[in-house]
Amino acid sequence: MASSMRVVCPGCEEEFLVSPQFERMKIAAKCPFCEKEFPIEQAKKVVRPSPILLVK
Amino acid sequence: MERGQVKDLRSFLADVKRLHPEELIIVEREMDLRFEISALHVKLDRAHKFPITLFTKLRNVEGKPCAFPLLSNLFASRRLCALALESSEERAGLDYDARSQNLKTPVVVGRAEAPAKQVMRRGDEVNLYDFPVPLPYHMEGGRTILGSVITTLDNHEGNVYNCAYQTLRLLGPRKVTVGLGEGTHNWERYRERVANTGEGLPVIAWIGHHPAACMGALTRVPIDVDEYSVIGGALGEPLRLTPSETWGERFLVPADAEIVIEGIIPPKERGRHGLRADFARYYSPETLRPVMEVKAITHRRDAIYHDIHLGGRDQDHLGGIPLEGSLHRAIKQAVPTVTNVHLPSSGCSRFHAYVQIKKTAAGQGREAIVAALGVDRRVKHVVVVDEDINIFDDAEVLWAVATRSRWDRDMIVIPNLICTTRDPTAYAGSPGDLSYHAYTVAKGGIDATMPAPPEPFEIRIKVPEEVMNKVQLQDYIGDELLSKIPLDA
Repeated sequence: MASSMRVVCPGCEEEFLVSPQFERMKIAAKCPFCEKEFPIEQAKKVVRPSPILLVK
Repeated sequence: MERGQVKDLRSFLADVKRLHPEELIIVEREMDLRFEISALHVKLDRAHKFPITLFTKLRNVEGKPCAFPLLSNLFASRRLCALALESSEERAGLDYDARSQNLKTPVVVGRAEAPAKQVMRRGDEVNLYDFPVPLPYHMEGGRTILGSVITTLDNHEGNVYNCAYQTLRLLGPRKVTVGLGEGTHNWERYRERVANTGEGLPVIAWIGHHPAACMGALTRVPIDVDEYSVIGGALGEPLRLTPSETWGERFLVPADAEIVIEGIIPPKERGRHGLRADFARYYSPETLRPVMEVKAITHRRDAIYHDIHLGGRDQDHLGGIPLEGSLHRAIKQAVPTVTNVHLPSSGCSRFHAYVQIKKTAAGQGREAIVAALGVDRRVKHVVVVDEDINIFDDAEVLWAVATRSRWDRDMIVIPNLICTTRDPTAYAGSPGDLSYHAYTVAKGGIDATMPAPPEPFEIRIKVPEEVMNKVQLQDYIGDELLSKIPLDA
């Protein structure tokens, strides 16, 4: 999806995708690798897509 | 199939064993549900081999020896899909559509005649972890039932059922999230039920049936058309139904399914429908979806758990063949001389549509493009070709594009059409809005047809037909040497 965010888990440091809907609704991200749940602001790294258009 | 036998998954597998025994592979060696089954299917795909696979030695979600074998790749071979539809590889989509338009009213049988009722589990006896639910790809953090046809019942008349393949993500032994997508019929049933009554929606998920019945669950029909009747049409005989355990005759379930899961979707609760693979061969981020509380499970005594190989031909054909039929029907209204439609795996059997027409007038190629783009939001690129082009061969379609199209005159681009949220190039309507109508993308097509007669065009090279028939490779090269010459890319 064009607007998925890439997030690096603060626990296991694996990268996975999070819907921006979760950030907007303040829902914790859940790492699919170690199952750690954490607020997105605590992610080790967050890469957000360009807000309107995907930049190629 | 023997006369008088009910059509179900067993009858189809018997047909395959009898007619194409080499296309049903039974894997008796133990395989790990974590990635190994996907690895085997990905390797088969890469080898261009698409047998049905049956895994007999597995462990369930809890790691205990599993009582249920797992069947996958049921739709991966177009030849076997055609067998299920009593059709040919070329006409499978068209014949599927004709069958599914010929509705057949279901018949109701008692529980004693319903194989799906051989084992019944209710309440605390229910445990979804008993099933061999795989973990297919590396970023998926949980187990998802993929072969589940979610079925709901309308609020008003109580006799119009809606069916669709929608996933179930395991949250617990009796709890799942249901992948109801906004805008789908099942979502509408849920929204309507909650708005009108404030109560939860009764729902069933059935797993494992004849592949024609499975494809029938994906026919595009209006919401007020009973899809059990559509499935009967696709199957070629009335679908046999039987009362559910939870609601009795008020909610009927397929009598010949392998497994039936019954439950309620409560009005407000949402759960994590975890990160998962999708048809476009990418990951889909975690979303919040309605929760289903499972009330009962019934299944055959020796039930087969049907799984779908995501991101391969299995998933491509399951959705693609029904869509080919829908496209053909829609295009035929604009271009009566359309002869066939194919959704190739190179476009995940959703994004690219190859349309073959017998061109009789200028403009028909462009008409076909416009007609095709309005049928389904996933269709993105349409290539229209003449009758002499084999639309089941990507290389031949691209040859037509190379030699019969011009970018300045033969291409149509329409910006900002609604598309699937699964298109990685989609434009987001507003940041963070994941509703299905919020995504748009440019779509278009190429008219790669020759000018309509009597306008002349170059003539394609060919060897005389009678000589092609006469010269057989094995006569001149020999079978042994022929089999040793490696396949090229």
